[in-house]
Amino acid sequence: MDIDLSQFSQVFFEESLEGLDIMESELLEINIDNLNHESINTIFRAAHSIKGGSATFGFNQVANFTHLLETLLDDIRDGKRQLSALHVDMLLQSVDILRAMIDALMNDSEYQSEQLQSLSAQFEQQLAQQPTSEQSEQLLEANTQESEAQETNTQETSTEEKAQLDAADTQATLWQIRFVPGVDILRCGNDPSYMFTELQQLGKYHIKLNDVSYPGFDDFDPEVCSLQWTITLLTDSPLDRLKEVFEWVEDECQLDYLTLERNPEQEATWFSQQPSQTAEANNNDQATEQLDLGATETSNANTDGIAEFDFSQAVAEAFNFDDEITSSLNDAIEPSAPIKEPSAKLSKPSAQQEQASTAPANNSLLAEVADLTVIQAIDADNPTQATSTNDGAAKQTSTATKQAVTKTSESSSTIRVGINKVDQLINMVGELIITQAMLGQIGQQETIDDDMMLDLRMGLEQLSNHTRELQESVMKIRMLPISFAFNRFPRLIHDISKQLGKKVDLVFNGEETELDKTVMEKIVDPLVHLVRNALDHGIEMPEVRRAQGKSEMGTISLNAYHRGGAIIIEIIDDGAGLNTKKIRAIAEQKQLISASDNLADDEINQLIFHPGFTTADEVSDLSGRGVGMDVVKRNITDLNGTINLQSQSGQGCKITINLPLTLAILDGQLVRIGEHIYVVPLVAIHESLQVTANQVNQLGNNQEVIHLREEFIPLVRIYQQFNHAPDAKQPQDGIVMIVDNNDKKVGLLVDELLSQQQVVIKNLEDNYTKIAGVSGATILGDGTVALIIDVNSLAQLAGIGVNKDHAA
Amino acid sequence: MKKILAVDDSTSMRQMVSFTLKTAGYEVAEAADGQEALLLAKANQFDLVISDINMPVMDGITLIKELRALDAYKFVPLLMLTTESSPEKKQEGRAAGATGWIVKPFNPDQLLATARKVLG
Amino acid sequence: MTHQQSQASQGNVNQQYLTFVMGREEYGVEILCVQEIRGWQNTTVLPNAPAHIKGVINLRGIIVPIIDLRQRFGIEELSYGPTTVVIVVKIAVEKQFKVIGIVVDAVSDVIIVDDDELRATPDFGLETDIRFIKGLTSINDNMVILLDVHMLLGNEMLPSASQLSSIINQLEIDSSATESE
Repeated sequence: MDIDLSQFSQVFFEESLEGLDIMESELLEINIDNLNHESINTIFRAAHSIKGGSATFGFNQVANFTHLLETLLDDIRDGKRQLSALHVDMLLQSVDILRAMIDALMNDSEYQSEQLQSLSAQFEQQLAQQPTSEQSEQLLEANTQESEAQETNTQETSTEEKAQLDAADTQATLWQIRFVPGVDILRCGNDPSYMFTELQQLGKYHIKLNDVSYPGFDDFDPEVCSLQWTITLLTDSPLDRLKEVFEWVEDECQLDYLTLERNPEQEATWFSQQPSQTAEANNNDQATEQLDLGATETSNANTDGIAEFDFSQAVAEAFNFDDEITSSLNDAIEPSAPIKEPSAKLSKPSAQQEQASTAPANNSLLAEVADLTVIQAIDADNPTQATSTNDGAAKQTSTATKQAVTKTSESSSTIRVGINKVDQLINMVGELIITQAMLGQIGQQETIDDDMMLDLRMGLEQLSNHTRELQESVMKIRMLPISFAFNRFPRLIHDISKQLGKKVDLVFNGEETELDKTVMEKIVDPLVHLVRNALDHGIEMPEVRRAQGKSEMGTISLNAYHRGGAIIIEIIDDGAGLNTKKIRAIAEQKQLISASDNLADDEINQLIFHPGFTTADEVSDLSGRGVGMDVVKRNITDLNGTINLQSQSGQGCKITINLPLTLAILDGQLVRIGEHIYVVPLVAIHESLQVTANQVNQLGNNQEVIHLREEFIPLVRIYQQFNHAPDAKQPQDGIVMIVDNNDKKVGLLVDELLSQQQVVIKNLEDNYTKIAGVSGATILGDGTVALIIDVNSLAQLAGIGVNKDHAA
Repeated sequence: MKKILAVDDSTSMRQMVSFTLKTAGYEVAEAADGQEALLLAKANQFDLVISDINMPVMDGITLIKELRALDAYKFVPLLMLTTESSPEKKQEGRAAGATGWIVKPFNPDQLLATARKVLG
Repeated sequence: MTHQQSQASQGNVNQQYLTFVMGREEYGVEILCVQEIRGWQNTTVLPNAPAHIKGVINLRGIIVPIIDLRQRFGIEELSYGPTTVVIVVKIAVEKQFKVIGIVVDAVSDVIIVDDDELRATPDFGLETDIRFIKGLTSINDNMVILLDVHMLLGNEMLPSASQLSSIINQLEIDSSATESE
């Protein structure tokens, strides 16, 4: 797999710098005579994380240096060393050096300094001084824990290792491994079958269960491993590689590695590649096993597929000896050669062990014991079956789509900023400093006369202007032209149109339009999905287009432009448009609507956003139109955006996506209703006014409208929708704000307009649920929470201009 | 789809582990310390847990002990991320019930090979 | 090395619970979920929320909903005062965490309950939904109701005080009966 680790570097730099800050502040607070264990831990953890990350991401200079710190800190943490003032000083110096190193890495430059050399030397020198004797004792203890068998083992193998070195690499060696697992091996989640699978991948492999006695039925404990094996392996891997397979369990198992003389005859029986349904397979401990070496599906089938069969049941019924077990296994699975190995005794798990976790362990063991041909049979049957047994194919498809659409949220987090944006920032900071100097002067006056007061007010006004501009500029740093998202499409269109035999011209408009990087990353996949749909289901084959009098060459346009505080992205194709009849039929079939529902074509077309809706007769390589459209819609809704679709049969389809420019910040108008404060997005507001009683008219069914100039604008009394106690119960007593509601207007009744300010948007759904009429929350200057009004959903709540939204 | 829980207090390491595993088609949940991991482990059934050792709030060793004591995680592979320089941590982890370890630094391929080893 | 793991796989964990008082009853939640304990502060009301959702507060930049457990259980409401306590809990829902605050009368203790000591709630048939109770235990002859924190996220009304106490009484009768056997 090729994963570019550099995408994580930026996060690593940031968190390392944070870690260094923490280290520094902890170090500065340390009291050597009265060590706080937690603060040593904190310092250690910071160094440890930096070391781990730097080694992983290939910053060796940082890794080597932090390794020194870590070693020293680890000793101190374990009480093996006394922390001295010198240590603290050295560690503080290290923090500076590491900061410089990381800065250098961030700027792609080389870090070199004499200080690093001398400080490293100083650490080495400190570490070379023997820590307290406690440590050596501990080490001794750890060593004596190794069993004697293990020790003799090591001696044996050292001679073998020599032999191994003498042999040329290309010469395969015939190994015989005797593997006697510790009885508790399963209790740590280890499973011998993992190890066998791994060994199989190293060469030709044969496994045989050793003759040992097993506990009787009454004494049988399914959590205890009482089996042992002899594995014969012909491989050119060195001994170290074989040992690595058993590395996690070597301390609690007996493992003997022997090299055997090569013996072609024996090998032929051990490693026969014949299917085992032959008569010879009845030979006693001859290989009935026959494996598709190295195929990962094999091991999948091993753990998942086998687990499908109720072995314990079969075995419990037949609980006896070899032949009967064999026959019940054969009934349960596939005809295969009888097994002449003494088999494990498996008990039926008792109720409390019905955690199913025992089952896989035992089943896979049994599989090893029983007959590996079985595995192959399943494997050949359907290699993917094993992995997908848990989720049906349909579910898999949807997860795949979901995965595809959410993938980009983990993109790298660096950003390249045009130098002009940076210059603009620097200019602003300059002005800010001038204003600050002026205000500072006023502040030094003993008394303030009227003239001074004027200056002060002017200064403060300038300050607030600067602050706002600065904030806007900082936000702009995160803005990138949408061409970053569009750039992938020429290639995509080229490849897919070739594959489909279609002719398509791709047109961009407004690719320089900027939007927030995060929004961009999250919109890429939905866009890909929509463009593919347009090409796959929209644009017709050249001959069809010709027959309809269209040009053979279809057109797909991607347009982007700003409107208010939003970015609009359009995907337009001049293809066949949606098949509204078919959509209707499917919707009725799926009972999303009933045959008697009177719906406009537009309303029917929106149904393709309904979860699980698809019009593809067969899910093709390119998804059916409608497959994943629900996911697309959800992704866009998650961004507080909207998606609309217009289709003309034979003329094509236009999809309009409306997104906020940024997820983080919003220009808000604070309003008050009774004791409650809400934020209304400034972009949505046309005007705010006081109305007279005769401007308010009643339409039928309880709908109030405001008569304003030539328009009748529906009115929403927020206090009614939100169940609050207002000051102004009547429109003429409060303020009416005229706001946008999906290209229409609506009036909102509030008590009072407060200040306008930029607010940082916080998600309510993280810890709560969606609230009708509310898009999110923000934290005001005094630390309290204010909710942000979602005009469209508020209007819906009030029953204004409700389109039947079937995709709810 | 196999579900894996990745536990590490370092965001970049966690992202790297999680991204690598997701790319290989596993479903991954992330936790920043042992306590979060334990909460997630009780709310989901993971097929594998990969945890760092040194973490705030609850360290990896304690996490492994706690997980092993849960019926649902009795036989689930629990792997710890260790450095070569801490053999006693390995011992401690083994004693707590860890299945095995992945030695830092590791690269994505090593991580995947290890995950495949225990998940089959 | 060999037998050290057996220790780890015994499977009887001592769970620690934070207990708190509400009305005349004592309840407990798993301490693993408890993030912090705070005093009462004014909340921002959420429009059209159920009565027991008191609103949201800003907890270090995170918007956290506050739930009044008394109202959830239909116990008579109290006015909030300086002694009122909010327990902030972190709950894992699928692969995400949710942080919520619950308002209780007072925090009392941290107790250790061995899983074996947890008495499962008896089944009362369909008349009362007691899934929110994880189990019961008694500390110094006091019945402590251990709550399943996930139920805090729901919106359904839980059995009222009278129902609850009749359940508890029933349980106490049952338990004394079993003790005397």
